[in-house]
Amino acid sequence: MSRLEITVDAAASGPLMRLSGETDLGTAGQLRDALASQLSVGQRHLTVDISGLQFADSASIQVLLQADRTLKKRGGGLELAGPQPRVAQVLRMLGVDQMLTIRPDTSSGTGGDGSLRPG
Amino acid sequence: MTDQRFDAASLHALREAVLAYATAAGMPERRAIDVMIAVHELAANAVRHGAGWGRLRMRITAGALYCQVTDAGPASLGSQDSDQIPAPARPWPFQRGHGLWLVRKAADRISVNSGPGRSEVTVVFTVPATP
Repeated sequence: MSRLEITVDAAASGPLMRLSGETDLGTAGQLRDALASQLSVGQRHLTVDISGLQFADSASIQVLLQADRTLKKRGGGLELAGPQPRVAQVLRMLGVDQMLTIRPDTSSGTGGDGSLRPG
Repeated sequence: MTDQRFDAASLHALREAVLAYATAAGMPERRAIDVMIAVHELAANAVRHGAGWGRLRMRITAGALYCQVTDAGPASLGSQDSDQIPAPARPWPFQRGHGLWLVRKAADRISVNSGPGRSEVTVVFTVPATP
């Protein structure tokens, strides 16, 4: 059974959502609810640390992209940080690296772009 | 050859089994992950739009890994024609949430044999020859 753990921490740059475990169609609703909760306070940017995520399917990534769409309408966006190889592979295949920023690592305050290069 | 049942609760186990089988067949890691991704999306489709459960059969024949996903639901792909599956030449239509786009992108070949009350999709991956 896929188990997804979602935590939200306050970071200097704003709220930081962390996903760990695995996410697929079974946990997409849980993910959608958590994102909706974060987005409901009107912020424009959200960073999602996925360094602890071992698998993500298209249903889950669709939820992330929909959140990004909402944030982009506000003039901001969603950023993914630290994808593991399996998840990076899915993101790359779906072209997500062309749609939003994916930082290869999770260190905060990085000035560089660090976005995922198509592989 | 393997034959296993899956449902919503056993997708994780299914993914691990597929990854292990593809790896044991000698596929490089990234390709084995492609197989896992493709089979997961087909199984997820059966769970969500089909009968809610299905079967996976895997075999290796003549240098190719065949993964056949069947479920007893209404033709969950909505078509008997594999050309109806969105072509990867266009960007992923994430608003419509098509996981099948990813299947088409990951697999070397895909064949669909569906009808009322039955959906059967086979994805094929070339297995590198043992040196």
